[in-house]
This record gives sequence, C-alpha cells and structure tokens, in this order.
Amino acid sequence: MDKSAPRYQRLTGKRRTPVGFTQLWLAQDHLLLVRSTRFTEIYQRFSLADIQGIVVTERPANIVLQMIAIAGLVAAVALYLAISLFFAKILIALGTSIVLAGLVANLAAGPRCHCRLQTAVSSELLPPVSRVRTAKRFLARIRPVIEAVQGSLAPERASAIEIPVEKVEKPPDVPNAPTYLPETLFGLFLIDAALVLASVRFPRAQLAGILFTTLFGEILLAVVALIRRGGRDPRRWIYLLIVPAVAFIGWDGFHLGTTFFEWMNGVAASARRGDPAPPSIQTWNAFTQSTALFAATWRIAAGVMGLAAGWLERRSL
Amino acid sequence: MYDTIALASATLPVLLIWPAVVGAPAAIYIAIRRWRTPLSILPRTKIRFVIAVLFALGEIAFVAVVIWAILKAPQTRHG
Repeated sequence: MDKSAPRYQRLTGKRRTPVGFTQLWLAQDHLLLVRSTRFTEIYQRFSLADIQGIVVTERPANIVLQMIAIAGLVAAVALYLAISLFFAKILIALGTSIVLAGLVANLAAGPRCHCRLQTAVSSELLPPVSRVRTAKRFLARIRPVIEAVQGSLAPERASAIEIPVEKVEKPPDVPNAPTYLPETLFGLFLIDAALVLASVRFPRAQLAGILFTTLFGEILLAVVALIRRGGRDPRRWIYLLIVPAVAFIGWDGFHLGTTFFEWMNGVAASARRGDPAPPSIQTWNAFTQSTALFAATWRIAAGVMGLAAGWLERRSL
Repeated sequence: MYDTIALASATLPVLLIWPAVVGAPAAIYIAIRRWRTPLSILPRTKIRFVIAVLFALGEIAFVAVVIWAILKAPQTRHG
C-alpha cells in the first residue's frame, strides 16, 4: 500500500444488506463512508473541518415485523409437531432456528435510529449508524476528533453566535461509470439462442443440461442489473428491454421445467412397469421445434437490440 | 475487489457443478494476475486470494481425478 495513503481506523461495524454493506472509517482529517457491493467499493469522504452537525433521531421499534416473525415461529412449531416426515421436520427446524436467531439478534441490537451528517453542501444519511447504542459509541469517538480540528464550543457561547446564512452551491455529483452487466446479459442471450437451436438440431448432445444453468444465469443477471440500476446508470432503454425479457425467460423456464417433469414421469412409469432400464436422459426433448424457434428468436432480437442500445446510450453519456 | 471476484469464481460455480471447470482456472488466473493490484484504500489482507487459489486447485484436482477414473474404468472392467 502507498505510504502516503491515509491510515484508516474502523469506526463502526458493517451494516449488511442482501447486496452488500456500508461501514464508517476514520482517517486523520476525514470520515470515510464505504458502500460496498462486495465486488466494488464506493467511497465518500467528509472532511472533519467541514462537518457542521451530526443528528441522531430515534426510530420506533419495528413491531409489525416482529409480530409477523413471532406468528411465523408459532405456526412453524405447530407444523413441526403435526407432521411426521423426518426430512420436512429438519427443514422446518432449520428455517425456524434462522428466523429465531434473526429475531433475537434484532431485539438484542436495541432501539433503532437514523443518523445524519450535516455539511455546508449536503445532509448525508449514515446507514452504518442504525442503532442508538452504535450512535452513542460513534459520537463518543468522533466528537473529540472533530473538536481537535474545529475547536470546542461551549453551549452558552454557541447560542450567542449568529451564523450568517450563506448560500453554498451544491458540488457536482461524481458520476458513476455504468457497469457492463446489461451488455453481459444481452451477450448471454445470444449464446443461449445458439444453445437452444443446437439442442433441437443435436438432441443427443444433452445441451439442455447446460441451458438449465445458463437460464438461471440469465435470471440472476437480469434481476441484479435491474436492482443495481437505481442511481448508478443513467441509461434507460437498455433496462426497459430487460423487463419484458424477464417475462420471456420465465416462460422458457416454465416450458423447460414442464418437459423435464414429463420426462421424469416417463422414468417413474417405466419403473412401475418394471422395465429393465429407465428412459435415458437423451430421450428428454427440452424444446420442441416451435418453442425453440420462439426462445431463440426473442433472444436474438433482445440480444442485438440490447447490445446496440447499450453501445449507443454509452456513447451519449 | 479482485480478491472477492477470484473467491466467487472459485466457489459459486461449484453450486452448479460443471461451471467449476471454467471458474477454477479463472480464479487462479485472477489471483495471479491481480496479486499486486491495490485492492482497496482500506486495510485488507490477501487471504481471499489464497483461499480462492487453494479452493480452485482442489476443484481442478477433483476434476482430474474424475476424468482419470472415467478413462480408467473401462480398462479395469475388461482387464
């Protein structure tokens, strides 16, 4: 690491969400808010000299969610006692334990709060400071550091000071470079279109097994791209294309599942008849001619349009 | 976060089994290629790179054993 780079001390724990976490760090002259998606990190610095105020507001307890969790736990225990299937009992016990652990952790964390950091040009919510206990620790740590930079101010002197109202222009937003996630998705559409057509042309190649994986990949990429778009990517048309594509992927997945289920039924019927060998996986026709044509056509159209739109919109940024 | 990408390349494809054939070499490539790249402005160790490489080597060894067993099986049966 660069010797001249600031040395950071951890100020708060990680505030985790399904798509990443946020955390606060302290350097010699600034506060650092880190927003991580696990694969990328976005940093926001607040100079200690620029901090005008830190406002902590207590929030009401999330009673509704806690009640729903408790009702779910009671229902799960009743279900556990009612059923006799061993495997189902294990699943219910596992699910119940996870929900119970989450509920206990939530209660043990104490009252919730919002913490805002005020500067001359912004009022920024600090997501890692979401509990009163954390806020108290955070303030106890940050106050002396800010006072060391700005000097301390007695309350009676503070009330005597008149602060001139100066209009400060908001600094320009730092643009985030758009990701290539949508382009990757549209590229995958084109690959899958080729796989779908090949699976019909060469049924013995068992390409449908790969399609199960790549269709799952399409869904994952589409959902992640749509979730991550907010505030990060100013492009619009490329994301509008993804929305109907999700419905088409769902239709193809339904069809793939149906034909697989029919093949499984054939295996079960063969076992009942006492056939010496069940039907091979090679007898499973994942796509008929017409469904394959539909699946490949929309993928080619969406892939080409998406890549073109992505390229054109990226150029105009 | 190249270390996280390497670790994800080594571990996530295992869930779908066959993509590990691509994911494991990719993880090793990323780990070697980006070993000296600054990862973050925050303190961060290279432990993810190490785990990713070990995991990927394990997967490659497993795939090699499976291929060897498949090639060996007919010989054993007829021998």
